[in-house]
Amino acid sequence: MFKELDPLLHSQLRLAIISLLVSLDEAEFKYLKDKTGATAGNLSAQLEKLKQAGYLEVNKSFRNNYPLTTCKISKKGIQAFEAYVNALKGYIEPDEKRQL
Amino acid sequence: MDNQKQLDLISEMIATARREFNHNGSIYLLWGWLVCIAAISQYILLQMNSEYNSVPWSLMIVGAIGQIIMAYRDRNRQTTKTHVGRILGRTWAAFGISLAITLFMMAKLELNTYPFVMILYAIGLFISGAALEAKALTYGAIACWCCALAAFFVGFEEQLLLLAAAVILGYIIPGYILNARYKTSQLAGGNV
Repeated sequence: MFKELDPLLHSQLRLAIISLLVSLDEAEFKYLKDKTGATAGNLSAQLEKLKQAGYLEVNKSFRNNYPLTTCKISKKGIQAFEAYVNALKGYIEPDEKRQL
Repeated sequence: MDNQKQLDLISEMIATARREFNHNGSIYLLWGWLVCIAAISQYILLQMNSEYNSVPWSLMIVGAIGQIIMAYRDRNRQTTKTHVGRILGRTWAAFGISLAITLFMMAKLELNTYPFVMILYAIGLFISGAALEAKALTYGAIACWCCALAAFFVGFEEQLLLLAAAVILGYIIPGYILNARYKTSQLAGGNV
């Protein structure tokens, strides 16, 4: 029985964001933009969706008088990521068995 | 996006984030060289019977200023915070507090502090070695423990030479190795 894949993570950019943040304590907006290659507008929109779902904590502050946005994955986000990877493995392993 | 591509993307992003764990070794080089110069200078001044033999330790003020500058520069440059960085920060903060107490309070007991200082070096280096996956730091920690053990059996002047050896093996050599590894990873744009 295949587990349903979380539709929120079933997007290349949102999955990339969560995969980066799962290995870090927190990351700045600029870092996420550089590493994912997304536009600022698209990245903001996807971060907002992840934040609304409770997967991320987004903190807005200032550094040297410039606005600074930092993102941190939440416990709910980590659980969702782990569930997503496990579900994904469930899809891939039967494929591999079929090929054998 | 098919399932395999998704797994590849996850692996690629995790590998990208792991690159942030790299350390350029500058802090190890800063303190390693300063302590080494101070210890050898004090040894030479003691051989010359100079009453100003402890003056070289004022270099530690240079180290403190250098560390503040590095921390400020890193704060402006770093765009991420890592779990490893947080653990290392706590470890070296604990080291700094323990070192300060050891240096100030052991003098009150009229005990030579250097063997204990080397033991503290070893603790910080041993944890850093595991966190940064740098064997050079782990071997450096073992070298510091050996120097500390030897220091219990020699006089104060010889302890200075052992202290210099401890920082060469524990800080300076691993510092250069970390620096080379960092430069390689920056050039390759990947994990080392």
